[in-house]
Amino acid sequence: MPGWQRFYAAHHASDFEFVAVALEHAGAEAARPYAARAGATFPVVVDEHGLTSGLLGFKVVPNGVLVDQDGIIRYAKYGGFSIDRAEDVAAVERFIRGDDPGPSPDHAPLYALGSLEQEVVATRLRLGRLLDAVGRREEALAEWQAALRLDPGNLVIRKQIWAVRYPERFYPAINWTWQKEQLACERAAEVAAGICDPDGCPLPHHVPR
Amino acid sequence: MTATAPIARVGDRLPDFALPLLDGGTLALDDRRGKRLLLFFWGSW
Repeated sequence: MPGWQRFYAAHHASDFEFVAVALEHAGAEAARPYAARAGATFPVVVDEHGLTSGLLGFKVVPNGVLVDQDGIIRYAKYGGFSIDRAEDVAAVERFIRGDDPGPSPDHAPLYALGSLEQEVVATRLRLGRLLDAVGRREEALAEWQAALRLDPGNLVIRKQIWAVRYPERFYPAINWTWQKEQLACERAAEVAAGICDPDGCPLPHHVPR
Repeated sequence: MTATAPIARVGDRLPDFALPLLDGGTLALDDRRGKRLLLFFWGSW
């Protein structure tokens, strides 16, 4: 974020806008220190219920999406989009200049949720947030876990659950080794329980009726 | 499975949405039309 703040300060033109969207299913407060530390002067919005991940079909962050003056998506990179990657910055700079940002990295989602499933996931996320806000954390986690069961490839939801359950692995610094081991462990349990296949795709009998 | 939820891809129009701003108020994408926009998605975790 500090890097994007510097980029924004250098490139902010009358017709270029930068909007940071924080995916925080456990509430906006977690995002605040990061925005403050970056000295963000660009708008930061909070997506508590996975509205944007549903619209765009992403299941990871960080992502960059370029939208032109007519509202058309011109470029999208899902996962690993970074101010520290020259090719990502170059795509944005071409776009700001009015040129074609170039081809987007391949993005073939493992699976697409049905409209109903998508709605149930969003509803579970919202319910979890409501319960968590009144201190009913275990019930909140159960709702988020139910959302993840429907959308087991969704790392945004999975990591949000981890951050709430195991905050020491995330704050003040993210423990990537732990995440890798935890993911492998949870995936194995989900395959054994018949929730998803080894690729992380949900199995059909877990669809709500 | 019900009908697949529609997903906006490169070349599609990004549907309008509005989300709460961290500092209060709401940002509607519609208000940003007419500008080149970089949406950066992230999480604290």
